[in-house]
Amino acid sequence: MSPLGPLLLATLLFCVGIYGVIARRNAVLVLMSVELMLNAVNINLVAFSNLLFPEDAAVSGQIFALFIIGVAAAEVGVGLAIVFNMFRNRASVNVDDVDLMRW
Amino acid sequence: MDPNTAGWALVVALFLPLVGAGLLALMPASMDRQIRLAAVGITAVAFALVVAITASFDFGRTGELQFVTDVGWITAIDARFIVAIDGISMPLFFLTYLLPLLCAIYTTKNLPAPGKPKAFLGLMLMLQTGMAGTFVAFDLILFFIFWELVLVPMFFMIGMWGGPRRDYASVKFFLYTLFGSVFMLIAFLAIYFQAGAETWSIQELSAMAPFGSSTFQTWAFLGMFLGFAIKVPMWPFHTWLPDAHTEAPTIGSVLLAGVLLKMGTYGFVRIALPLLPEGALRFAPIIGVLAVIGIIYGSLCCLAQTDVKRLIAFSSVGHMGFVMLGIAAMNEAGIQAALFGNIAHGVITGMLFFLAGSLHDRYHTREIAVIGGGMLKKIPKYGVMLTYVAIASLGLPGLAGFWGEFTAMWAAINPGLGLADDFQGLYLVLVVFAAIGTVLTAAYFLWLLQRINLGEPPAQWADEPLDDVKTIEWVSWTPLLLLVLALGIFPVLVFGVQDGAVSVLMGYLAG
Amino acid sequence: MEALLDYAWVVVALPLLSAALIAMFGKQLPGGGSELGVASLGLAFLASAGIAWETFVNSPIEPVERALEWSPLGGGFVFELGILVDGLTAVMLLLVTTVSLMVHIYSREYMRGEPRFTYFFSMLSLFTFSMLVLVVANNLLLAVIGWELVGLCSFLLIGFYWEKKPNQDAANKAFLTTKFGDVGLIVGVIVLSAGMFELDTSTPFNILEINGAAAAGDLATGTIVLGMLLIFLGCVSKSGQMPLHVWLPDAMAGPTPVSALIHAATMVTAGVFLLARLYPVMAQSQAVMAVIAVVGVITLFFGGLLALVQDDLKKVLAYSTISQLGYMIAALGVGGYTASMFHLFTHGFFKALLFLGAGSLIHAVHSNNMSDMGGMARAMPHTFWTFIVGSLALAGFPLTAGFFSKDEILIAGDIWAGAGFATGALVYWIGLAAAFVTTFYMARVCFLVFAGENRSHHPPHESGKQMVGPLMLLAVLSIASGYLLSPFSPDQPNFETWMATPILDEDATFPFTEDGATEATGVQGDGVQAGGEVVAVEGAEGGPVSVLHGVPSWHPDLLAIVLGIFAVAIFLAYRFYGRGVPERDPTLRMGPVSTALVNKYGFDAFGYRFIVVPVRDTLSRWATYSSNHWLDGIVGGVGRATMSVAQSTYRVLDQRVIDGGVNGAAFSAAWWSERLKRIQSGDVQRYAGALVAGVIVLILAFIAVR
Repeated sequence: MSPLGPLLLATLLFCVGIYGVIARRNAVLVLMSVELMLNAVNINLVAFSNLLFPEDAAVSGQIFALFIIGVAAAEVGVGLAIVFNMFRNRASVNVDDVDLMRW
Repeated sequence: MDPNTAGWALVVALFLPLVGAGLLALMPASMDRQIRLAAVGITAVAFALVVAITASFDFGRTGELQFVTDVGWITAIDARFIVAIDGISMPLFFLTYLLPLLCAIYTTKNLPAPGKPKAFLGLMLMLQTGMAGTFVAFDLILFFIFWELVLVPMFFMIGMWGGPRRDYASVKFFLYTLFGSVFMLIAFLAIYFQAGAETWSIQELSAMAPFGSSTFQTWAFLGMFLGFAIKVPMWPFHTWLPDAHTEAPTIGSVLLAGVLLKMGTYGFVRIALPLLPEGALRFAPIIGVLAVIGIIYGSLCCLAQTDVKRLIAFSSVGHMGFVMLGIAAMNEAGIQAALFGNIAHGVITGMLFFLAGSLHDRYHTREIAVIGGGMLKKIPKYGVMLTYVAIASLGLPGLAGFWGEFTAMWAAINPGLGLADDFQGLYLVLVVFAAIGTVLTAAYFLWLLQRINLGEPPAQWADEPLDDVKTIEWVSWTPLLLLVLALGIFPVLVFGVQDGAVSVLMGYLAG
Repeated sequence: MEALLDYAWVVVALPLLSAALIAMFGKQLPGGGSELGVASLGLAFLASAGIAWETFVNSPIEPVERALEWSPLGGGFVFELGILVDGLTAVMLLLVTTVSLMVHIYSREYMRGEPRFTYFFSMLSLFTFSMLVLVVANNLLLAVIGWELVGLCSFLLIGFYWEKKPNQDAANKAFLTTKFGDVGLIVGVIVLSAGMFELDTSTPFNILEINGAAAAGDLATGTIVLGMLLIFLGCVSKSGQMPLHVWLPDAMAGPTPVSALIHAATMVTAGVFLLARLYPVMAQSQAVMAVIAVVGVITLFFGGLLALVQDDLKKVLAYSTISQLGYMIAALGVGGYTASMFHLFTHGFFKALLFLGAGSLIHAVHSNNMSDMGGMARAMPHTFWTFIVGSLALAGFPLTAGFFSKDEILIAGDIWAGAGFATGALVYWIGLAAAFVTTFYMARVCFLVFAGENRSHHPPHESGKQMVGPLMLLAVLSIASGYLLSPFSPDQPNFETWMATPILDEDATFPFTEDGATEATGVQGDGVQAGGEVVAVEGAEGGPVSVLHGVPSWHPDLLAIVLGIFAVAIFLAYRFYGRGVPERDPTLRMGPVSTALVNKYGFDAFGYRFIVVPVRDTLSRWATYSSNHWLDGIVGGVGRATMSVAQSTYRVLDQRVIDGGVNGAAFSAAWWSERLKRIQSGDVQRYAGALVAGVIVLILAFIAVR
């Protein structure tokens, strides 16, 4: 099976994700964009695993993808908690309003 | 204990005082009395352990290392933790545990201002581990660490409990000896890289020696020479000694003379000679000449002293001259003599410093002219004791001092390793002058005795109630007094123990 | 009985035991510990007598040697604790224990009421032990140990009355002068033992081995000459030979029994004994023999002269001891080995007698000075006659012990001269001249002390039994001991066979030269001795080796000369001193001679001025000064130089250059950070953009590099 399709899909998803992370102001949307990027990577992993070891039972790419899903879930949990707190303090989820870490 | 397997015993004995110092640090300072007793207990336990080690030591093969502990330590630089004991180390090691015990006993009643037994005894115990470690470390790095460990407690001992010029004396002591040990360390490094065997083990390096060109050996030996000669101290590197001794508290002087100076001569014998035989051979005549100058010079200086303690300090310069003359002889008898001289000087001069200290406690001065004589009438037991030790120190046969001196001269008449071919005449002259040194030694001791011991006590002291030898002094001094006699009558106690080890050592030297 | 010799160490151990016991328990005993000393010395005397008898009747005997390996010394050499018993040892054992026993008994009364009575006896016993160690030692190192220990005991006993400064000075002088000689002894012993190193022995100090090696020609000439001359230096100081005799007269500061035991009969003869022990070595070199003879001759004459001007009774005796020791040393130098030891033996008895007699007198009048005595013959009859016997023996009056022994020495000189050595004639003629001097000063003493009126401030009284008893016994010995080697005892064994050892045996001819091709040449002595078999043995190549062997016989011409000397000396002494103390002593009226004698030839002053003062005051101060100022100055200079380098380092290098660099770095960091901090906007999305841009740049760079 040609990997072209999955790879194109992954590239598309990744670009969408980058756009979302850089351009959107809503913190929730930024987080969601991050998820998109991670999933694009997941697709790549599975696709390459299949491409490079077609006959083998080696599933390291897939296992990696599972780990990333787990980590992503945790990250979103933490991230949403931060966004939630931000909203409670500032009544806003706009990332432009949060520049406490500047010089 | 099996001397082949019981390496733990030696390690325990070695670090027990250091652990003890830690324990003392945990006791509240207000428990003055208990602290002092605890120190006696710690040193006594350590001494008992060393007695046990001595008892189970295999005297049939003193040339081999016994009670060996050899484990990896700092693998990055190949340093190993090698601790062991052989015939050369044994007598010095034993002395290193006896003297602190006596010092601790003495300190239960005597401690100079500003008191603070916790700090004082803690430092003493730390010093003990340092000194003992020097004598049993068989790895150059480990040796160096113990060697340097000694400096710190002694520095504070002189600097805090010393006499009026303590600041000057302690800094001088510290810097001068540190100055020497830097060159020593460089020499160690040079040998390590020259050998290229990735080991610091003294035994392994000795077996491998000689390495490097003759020039290399000369330079490396010069480095070690500076380190060890300052510690001994040899003329003309001796000037730290009178100051340090004069200012140090009694216990400090005792340990300084009794053990610390021996580290220098031990270093020569254990490290410098076997590792750098050719360098040693080149330096031997120079060492001999400096040693004999030291004998004559030290004795002359003694004649001019007006302070009892300073006089005894200068006498060390002369006596250590005999020790170094033995080393300069470069033969078995010479090494034997040097090591015997070490022990004898440690016992005798240690005792003399005890006496000088208690003299000051009684008269509150150490000026000979102020004391003015009559001690034998005023405090007879003390006077007899001083006479006895002084006579031992001037090298009378039957007491400890004789064997080191006579054997050193005897050995030097026929120096080993081919030195006799080129330097026979020089060595004969050295022996003659060394013998003249014994006359000067006798002169200053007898004159000292005449001026403070004999005659009638001057009016100033006639009605002064002065204590004769006190109980605590009897307890802490008697072992030394007996040892002086025992070593004089049974020189085999030291010669016999060292014999095999010295043979092995000379085997390394002869290649 | 033979086994007795194996146990000679018991003789040595007994006094040590008593010294220790007296020191520990003496004060609790009714006799203050003196009874312990007398008891142990009594036992030691009996054992010595047994040993002496055993060696005498069987003489000549093989030396008996027993040794314990005591300690290794390194290099495979060992120090032995051993005994060597032969005739020489036996004679010394007998002499030392006899005199010591007498002195112990005598001191019980003499020292009564003294402070430190117990200490005194402990020291006497310790001295006896030390002396015996020296005597029985089978090796030179052990002998050196005994030698030094007797020196210590001598020091402690001379300074017995240490409250007074002159006594302290005398003790120090004695110890240091002899210690100076010990430099020679110790180096000499070391040189000899070094000569033994090549001979494949583990005991390089062993006396028999050294003697044997020397006799076999295994020792290099240089070793022998150097070693023996150095050892002789030790003997010079210990045995009061000029110029190191200066300590002995001062040593009279000690109690009189001490003078009798240590400074007359035993310790001072140690040097003679040691030379006799090493006689086979010494005899290898003509030069050594000559030096020894000359020093002996000088001492026997000039030492005797000094006795003429003394008023102190003990000092007269001290100088006489020096002179008599000179005879012994001179005798050794002219091959009179037996004669020397014989004189040592008899002199021990009569000089001890004279000193103890002097002690009895001093005890009675509380003064050492003869000008405070006079007329003592009536008050102290026993002291009187015993003293006279001692004086006669010392002066060499016929049929006393001193006569036989001194004549042996003169005869030895004569034979030596006959063998072609000038030193022999020197000993003979100067020995005779000194005999005159001896007779004169002893007559002077006897007249001044015993004749005329009593000049003392105390009514004199005879001493008690414990003092007079030893006097009488010694008086008997002062006569009897001479008959061991006299024309009255021509049969063997006599003193000569007693002294003979295999090495010195006549038959054992002396293979004393290197090729061993020596024909011992018997040289018949000529001159005074008639008949007899007195011969000098001479090695080849002029290597002189000589012992007198033969049967003693009368020498009428010598006897005549001696009697003539005696008559003249007594007559002169009677004229000057017969009627009490002359207003001006004629010995003090000899102009510059008297001045020289009173000033003791200036030796003491010279030694004080040119040795003691320079060393004690000048050199020592110089050494201290150089230590404190020059050597320590270097250390201090290094310290100061380091400090000044440190100062400039600090100011210029550190503060300006390095710290300037450090500060500069800090300032520039601040300047840049002020500008760079603006990047940190806190805007997350700007960061993310930069990240993406960075990744793109990296990817492009990656592609470009590929």
